[in-house]
Amino acid sequence: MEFLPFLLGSVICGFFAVRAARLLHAALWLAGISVLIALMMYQLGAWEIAIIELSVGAGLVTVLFVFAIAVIGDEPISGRSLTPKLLAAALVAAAVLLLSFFLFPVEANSAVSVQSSFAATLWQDRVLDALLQVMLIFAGVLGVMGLLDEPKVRAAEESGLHAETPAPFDQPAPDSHLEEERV
Amino acid sequence: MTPSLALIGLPLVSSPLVYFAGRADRRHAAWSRIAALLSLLIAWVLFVQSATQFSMSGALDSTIGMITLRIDGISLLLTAVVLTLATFVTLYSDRYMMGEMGEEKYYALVIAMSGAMIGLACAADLFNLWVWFELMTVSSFLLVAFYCQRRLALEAGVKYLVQSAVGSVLVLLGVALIFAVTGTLRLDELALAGESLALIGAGGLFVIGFGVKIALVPMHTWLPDAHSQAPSGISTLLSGVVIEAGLIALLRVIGALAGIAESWGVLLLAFAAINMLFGNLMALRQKQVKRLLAFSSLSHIGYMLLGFGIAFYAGTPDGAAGGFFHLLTHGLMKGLAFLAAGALLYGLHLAHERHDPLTVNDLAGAGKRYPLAALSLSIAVLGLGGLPPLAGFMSKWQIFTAGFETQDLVLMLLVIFAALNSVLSLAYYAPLVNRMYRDHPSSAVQQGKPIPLSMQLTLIGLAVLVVAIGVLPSLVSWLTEPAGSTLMLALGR
Amino acid sequence: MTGTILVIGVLALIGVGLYGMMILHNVLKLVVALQILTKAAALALVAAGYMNGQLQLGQSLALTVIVADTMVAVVGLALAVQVRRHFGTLDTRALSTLKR
Repeated sequence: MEFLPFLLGSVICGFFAVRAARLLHAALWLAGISVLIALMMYQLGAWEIAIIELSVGAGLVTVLFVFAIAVIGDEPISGRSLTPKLLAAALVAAAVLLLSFFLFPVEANSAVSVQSSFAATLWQDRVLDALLQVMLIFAGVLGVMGLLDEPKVRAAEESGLHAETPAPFDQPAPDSHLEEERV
Repeated sequence: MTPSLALIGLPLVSSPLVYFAGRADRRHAAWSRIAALLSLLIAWVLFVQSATQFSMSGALDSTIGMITLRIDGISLLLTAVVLTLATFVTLYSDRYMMGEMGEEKYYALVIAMSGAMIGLACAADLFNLWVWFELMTVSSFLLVAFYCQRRLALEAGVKYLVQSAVGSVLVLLGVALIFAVTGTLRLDELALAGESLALIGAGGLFVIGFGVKIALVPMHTWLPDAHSQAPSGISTLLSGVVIEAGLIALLRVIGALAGIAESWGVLLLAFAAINMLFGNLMALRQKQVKRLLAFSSLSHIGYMLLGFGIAFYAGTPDGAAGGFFHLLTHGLMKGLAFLAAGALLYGLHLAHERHDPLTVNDLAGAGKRYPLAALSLSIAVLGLGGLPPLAGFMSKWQIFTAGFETQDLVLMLLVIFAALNSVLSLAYYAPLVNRMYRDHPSSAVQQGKPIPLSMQLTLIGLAVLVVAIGVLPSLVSWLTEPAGSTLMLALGR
Repeated sequence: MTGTILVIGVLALIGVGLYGMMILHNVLKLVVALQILTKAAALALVAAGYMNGQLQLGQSLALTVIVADTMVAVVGLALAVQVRRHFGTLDTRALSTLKR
């Protein structure tokens, strides 16, 4: 039960992350959730994943967020949301209640309790998942590289191979043009 | 290394090789296309070997640790469709993608995505199924937003990413729930777990989570944008196999929760009716060809769900086989339709370095200027509309007869509803064909550039397949019948 | 009892994340909300393993989830950068048609 404060804390952090006006604050609250969840995992005895959550979730992801925000610029966006807040809250509450109707009472099947080490489980039983992670990272990295690739840079690199690559989308096109393409 | 394991592993290993083949020589990124074709060729050889083994000794298991990969009827069917479309798309993309930025990433991700779908079809472990599913999703993000310098493609990419990610979290919650309650992740052990409220809840999470990828109607909003903004080869893969892969993942997991198969059947049938009607009504309003085809995918998912719903609800094997048959024919026909539309788009707009959408009005008079592309598009859309003797008619017919076999009034009414929808769909397919064979060409057609030979050859190949399967549906029954019986076996009927 | 509290916690995090997905209209903050959801999912897997006595298995699954969803977040961030570059804003309402 020692993890109760962490659990409460992470939910509160989540609330603030959603509410934060500035992007940087949202990213920091998110890191807070990560830290608290990592502590909670530690309390449950899942030490290895706690360390990983701490380093990847609170470390790497936060760094990436801060980096992206530095590139983009911290732009507070206000104004009405797409869904009225009250309606959104009601819908979410309904969904969570519906889900908990199926969940409670929680009856876990604890018949099996063969305990091996984390490393053995990962590298023997679930080694296929571990290998697929490599593919996931490869696909993700290719995706990021493809998305951030800029035509001008490439064109310069390739010494005019694509010299006439058009870049007409740098200046925002008028909105009427966008509307026209939709039906 | 058995051929079946090699078949699953090959695309994953070759995807990085394809990428580096294109990177090694900057001026000839097309090397990656050749590498991709080569790896697909090897995959075909392995596929034939696995299929022969399967026909002799039944399902092929390869176990790695506690995870089993199983090649059975369903995986063979999806693998065949994936490999067919991936091969045609790679052949086709020669000129279409040439000179685009990141050509080598395109081919590498196409191979990775195909590999992920093959793996997904083979996974017999609940969590492993999710990992393949996620790999398929992650490798498709860039492909959807490939023209990332264009605003509409970015919009489509954001929608696709956000919605798929929420869907995949819901699936994951379902996995966690099942893992907590039953203590096992093996799909075959799950089938023995019996009924409980928590498993029904998990099934609901799966329907919603995979439903985003399958584009069940309230969760479909990413699909029209993604399909119309992606390069045409990717539209082909998305519409022809990616959404179907989601459907197969869903069938696998709710098939394992089959203690309550009848209620899942009702749910599938309800979604079938909504998808058919909504997809058709939205397609009627579209002026862009690729958006029209995207909405027609929604209605075709409806037909597949109808077949599978009949199998779940009434236990009719013909329903399952019909659903899988329609999955196959829809993949080929929709692939042909998107590739033909892409070829026309290339001739009319892309060759002029324009990124305008291809509208229905642009097609006027295309029949004279581009006889082959127009003919293939006509064959594809008439097949999708279900005109005999094309492939679409045969698969729809099998689903409809399965419905009547059950002698169940509701199911028979649903089948009549589906048939009416089929007629309704001609209301937007027929004008397409009519437009193309008009005398007065549109201005776009008058200025159109020729379509490269590689595209024309691909169109001929796929069109021949569509017609051949229509005339001789038994050509593919070696794929659809085992797939159907595998599903019935999982349902315990 | 421990199990019940864990489940409630996961549900609360999911609720917060879904609420965020519904009301936010900034591409980057949508990625933050997605991350909240995936952290809840990873916690759910560890909790499931804890409850049925297969904690090590639960941990291995959670590791894969963390890696996979970090990749999704990274691609999401790259998309956000491009959106900002070409739309001049991160506001999804400027993407005009997200609701249709």
